[in-house]
Amino acid sequence: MLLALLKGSELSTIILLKDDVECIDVCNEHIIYNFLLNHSKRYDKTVFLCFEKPPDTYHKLLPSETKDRVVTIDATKYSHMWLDFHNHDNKLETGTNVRKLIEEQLPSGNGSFGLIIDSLSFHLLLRPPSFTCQFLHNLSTVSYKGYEIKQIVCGVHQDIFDSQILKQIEHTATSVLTFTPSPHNNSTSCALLHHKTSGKVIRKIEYFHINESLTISSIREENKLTTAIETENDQVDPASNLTFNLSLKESEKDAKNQLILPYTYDKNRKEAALNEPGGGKIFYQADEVDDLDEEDPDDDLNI
Amino acid sequence: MNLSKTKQAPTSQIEEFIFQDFLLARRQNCPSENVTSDFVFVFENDSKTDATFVMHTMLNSYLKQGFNVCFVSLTQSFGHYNSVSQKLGVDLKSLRESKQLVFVEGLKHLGNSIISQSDNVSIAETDDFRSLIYNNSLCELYNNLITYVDQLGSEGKPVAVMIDDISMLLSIGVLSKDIVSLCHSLQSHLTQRKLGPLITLSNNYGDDDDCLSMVKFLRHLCTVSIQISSLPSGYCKDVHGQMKILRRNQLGRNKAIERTVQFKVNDKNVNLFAVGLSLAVL
Repeated sequence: MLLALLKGSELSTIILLKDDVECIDVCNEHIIYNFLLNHSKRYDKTVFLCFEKPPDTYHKLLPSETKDRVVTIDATKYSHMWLDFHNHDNKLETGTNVRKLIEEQLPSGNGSFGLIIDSLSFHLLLRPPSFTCQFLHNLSTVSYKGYEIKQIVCGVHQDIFDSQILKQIEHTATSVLTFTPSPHNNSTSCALLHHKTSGKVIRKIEYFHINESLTISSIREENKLTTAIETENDQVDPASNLTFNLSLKESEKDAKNQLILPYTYDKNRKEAALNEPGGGKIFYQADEVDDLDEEDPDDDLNI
Repeated sequence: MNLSKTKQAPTSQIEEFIFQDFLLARRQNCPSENVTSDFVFVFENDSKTDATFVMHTMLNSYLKQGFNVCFVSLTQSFGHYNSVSQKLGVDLKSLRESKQLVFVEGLKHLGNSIISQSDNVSIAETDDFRSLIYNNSLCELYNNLITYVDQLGSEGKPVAVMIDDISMLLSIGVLSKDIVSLCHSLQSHLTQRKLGPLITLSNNYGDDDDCLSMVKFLRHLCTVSIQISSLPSGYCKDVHGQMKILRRNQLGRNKAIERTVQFKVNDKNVNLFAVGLSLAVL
């Protein structure tokens, strides 16, 4: 699934990549580079917006034939303006200004384009999370200079923020990829949550590693659903190590299931009870000692 | 930046450990951008340990290697650093006079700013910490640091910017996001001009969420992190703590480097030994 998302065979509008500080071998940087490489092969133009590292770090590694398809915007140049957080609206961070910046840098033409943002962490740090959600949504819905936006890929450092804040961003994204170091085979695990265009939601865990030329190779994948069942089966059965017998054999189980208890009302028994003939009439035979008065007790009343 | 201008100086055990990449590049005579525009983040993993010895070592080491240094001290006076450096064989006073070192005395200026604020006395325009105390804004400090750095780097010499200890700013009311922005801005300025490394130290304030998130963010931004922690087994007079150096696997490098050693801080040097192999234990 990770490779399908990278290559574009699986459609997704907004992809969110989450890493944490323990990912020392493979972090967002490597995945971002791979997306950048694939976007530049797939789309007519790719806009690469850098907030953390200068774009040159990634750009110099790209093969020369794809380099001119990538338009880089170095937001780290403006980072000192972020210090003046009281006057944010005049600065680069606002969604409209980023749009303006993209329009300035992008040559006019037509076709498709992808947008890659190396990190949303500064956005989330300096502005309320709803701003970042709106920012992403706004970017994904407009077209720029005749180019139609196909995909936005953005990274975030998940260990810096509350789960509440991250959930808001995750709701905006159509795919969420969470990277954590994996104990076996020096690989990295990627927990994947993907909303297909049909509405189906896929959850998977994949293990992969990145070789020296920065290519991702998938090792194996597993469905989250199956792992959940496995863990249920792994639970110890409390009746297994007893000195007496609590469990039933198959034949005993069948016999138990066939037996109908006397007061269990199944359909037949209920109908029989309701349609039973006679019953309910009371005959009273007077005793000798009974003092029966034939007179009407209300006779003296003048109604 | 011209590395050939830098002086060759004998290196101690801890310098070998911290500057491993840099020394290797210099010995092979291949200046590497990755090494020289590092962001080194030194942090204490718990409150039972003290990481300032790393800052002292790095300050002296950079000065010996011929770097121009801009040092911002927020917790100690110039006198303190000078006396420690003299023990390690560097005279800060003369280097300050020869303009190889710019020492920003945060401790003194902060104190003055607070006093003048309460007494309603106007302070000198040039004070780096005026706006910090009045508006909690780091803009002025940043602008002044950039001016110092550009002056120091004007002759093509490498410049190291050191801030000790950045978490002190949290205590005087600066927001963690502003501190992160300050470090990031300084780092991107140094990288763009290819001037040299940025080194900061942060304390650990236990369960302070602001401090924790700041440390985590800086660990993401840095290229090299040095983590100082006390021994999990408790205090020991022969082993003072554990030091972990981590260079993350960045684009263009193929491997993450992670090394852990234990240390003992002596009067004039720091002894390093492999985990569990101190002479006191063997």
